[in-house]
Amino acid sequence: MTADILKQPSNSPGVRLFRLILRNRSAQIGGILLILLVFLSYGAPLFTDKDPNKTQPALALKPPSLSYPMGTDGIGRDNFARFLYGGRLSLRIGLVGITIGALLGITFGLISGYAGGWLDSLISWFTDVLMSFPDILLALAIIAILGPGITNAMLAIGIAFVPSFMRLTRSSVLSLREMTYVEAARALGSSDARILVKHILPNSIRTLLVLITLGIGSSILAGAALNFLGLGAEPPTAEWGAMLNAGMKYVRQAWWLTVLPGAGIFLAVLSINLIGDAISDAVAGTTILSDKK
Amino acid sequence: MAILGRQKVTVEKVAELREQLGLNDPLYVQYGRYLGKAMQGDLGVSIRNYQPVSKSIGDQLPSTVALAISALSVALAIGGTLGLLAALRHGSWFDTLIMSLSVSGLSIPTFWLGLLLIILFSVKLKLFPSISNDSSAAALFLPALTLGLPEAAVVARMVRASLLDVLNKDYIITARAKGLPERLVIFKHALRNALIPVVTFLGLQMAYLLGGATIVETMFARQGIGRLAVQSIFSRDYPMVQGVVLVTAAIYVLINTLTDITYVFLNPKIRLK
Repeated sequence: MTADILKQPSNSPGVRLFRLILRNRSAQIGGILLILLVFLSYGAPLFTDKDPNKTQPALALKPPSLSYPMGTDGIGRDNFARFLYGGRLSLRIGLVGITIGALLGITFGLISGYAGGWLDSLISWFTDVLMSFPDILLALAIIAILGPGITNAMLAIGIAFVPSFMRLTRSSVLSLREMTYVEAARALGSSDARILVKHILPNSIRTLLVLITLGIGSSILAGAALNFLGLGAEPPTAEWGAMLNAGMKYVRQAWWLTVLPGAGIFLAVLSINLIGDAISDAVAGTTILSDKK
Repeated sequence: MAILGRQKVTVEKVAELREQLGLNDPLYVQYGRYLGKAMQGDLGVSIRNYQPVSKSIGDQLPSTVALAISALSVALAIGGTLGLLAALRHGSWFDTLIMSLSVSGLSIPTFWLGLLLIILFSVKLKLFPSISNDSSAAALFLPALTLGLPEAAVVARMVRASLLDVLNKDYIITARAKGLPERLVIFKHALRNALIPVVTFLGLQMAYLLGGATIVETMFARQGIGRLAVQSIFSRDYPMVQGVVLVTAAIYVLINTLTDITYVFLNPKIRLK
C-alpha cells in the first residue's frame, strides 16, 4: 500500500520539473562535477594539511610531485592547497554576485511591472542606461567608483546582472498581472504585496530559474576575470582568477600555475552551464506538458 | 588633489586647484559643463599624464577595433563552418561533438584560453608572439583567436539552430521536390535565410567584443581602450575611466541601433510591417 503511494507520480509541477532535470544526462554530469568541486573546496582540510599562504622560497616553482600534487608557485606556496582554498572564494564570489543581482533585479522587475506608470518608466529607464554598457565594462566602472576588493567585485557583478533580471521579471509580471487568478486575489481583497509575493513571483520562478542557474556560471567567470585583472582579491588571498594572474609571470617555466587554476574555473562554469541547459530543457518540457493539459 | 598638485600640498594650492577645476560649483553645474564639453568631443584632461582624454582614446581605439573585427572573423569562420556541418549531419556523432564543444566554449574563461594558446603556440611551437603590440597578422593571431573562439561556440549553436529551423520550411521541401541539387538547396535557399538572425547577432557581438577586449588586451599587453580603462582604474585617473566608459557605451548603443536598421533591410517582412 505504502509502496503504491510512493510509486505514484506526484502532480506537483515543482516535483515534475525536478524529476525531469534529474533524468537529464547533462544535469547528471554537471551535478556530479559541481558536487565534486564544492566538496574539494569546502572540505579542503581533509585533502591537504598545508597552509595555502605559507611561503617557502627554497621550494619555489617545483613541478607537480607526490608531496606537492599541483607543484609550488613562485614563492614556494603549495599550489594544491591554494587551488582548494581558492575554489571556495571563486565559487562564493559567483554565488553572492548572482544573489545580489537576482534580489535587486527581481524586486525592481516586480515593482516596475506591477506598478506601471511613472515608477515603471523610471526603473526601466535606469536599467536601460545600465544595459547600454557591456557587462565587464559596467563592472569595471563600478569598481573604479568603489575601489578594488572582493566585496566591491561581488557588488559590481551583482549590479551588472540587475538589468537582465529586471527585464525578465518585468515581462513576466506584465503578462501574469492580467491573469484571472490575480484578478480573483485582488477581488478577495489581497494586498498588492501579497499578490506579488504569493501569486505572481511563484509563477515567474520557472523562467527566472534558467537565468539564475546560467547566471551563476557567468558570475563565477566575471568574478574570476576581475580577480585576474587584479581588481578583486588582495594578495596573498588564494582565488582561481588571481592565481592565474600571478602564474602568468611563470607561463614559460611553470605551466601548472596557470593551467590548473584555469581548469578549476572552466570546470565550475561548465558544470553549472550543463545544469542550466538541463533546467532550460526541463522548463520548456514541463511548459509544453502543462499546456497540453 | 595630491596627484594633481605633484609637489607638496598646501591649503592654498588645494583651494587654487579646486577653483581651477571648477570643483567649488554645485554638482549639477559640473555635470552640465562635462556634458556640454563631451558633446564637442572634449572629455577632459587625464590627471596622470595631462593628455586630452579624447586624444588618448582616439590613439587606442583603432587597435581595439582591429582586434574586435579579427575576433569576429574568427568566430564567423570557425563557428559558421562547424554550425553548418553540425546541422547537415543533425543527430550524428559529429553533431553531438560540436554541440559538446560549444558548451565547453561557452564555459571557458577568455584569460585561461589565452594562456593555453600562449603555452601552445608561443612557448611550445614558437609560432606566434605572446606579447603583441602591433597590428601585423602574426601579432593579432593569438589575441583574435582568444577573443573569437568562445564567440565561435555561440555562432555554431546559432547557425545550427537557425539552419535546422529553415531546413524544415516548405520552400526547402519544394526546392528539393523540384529536383534541385542538395548543394544549391543548402547554399542558395537555406543558408541565405538561416544567416539573417546570425548576422544581427554578430552585430550585437561586435559591440560586446569591444568591451570584452579588456581582458585580452591586458593579457597580451596590447594597446587598446580596454587596457587603457584597466590602467586608468589602477592609477585612479578618473577623467580617463569616465571617457573610456562613455565612448564604449556610445559605440555599443550605436552598433545596436545599426544592427536594428540592418535587420530591417535583411528581413523584408519587418520592412513591410
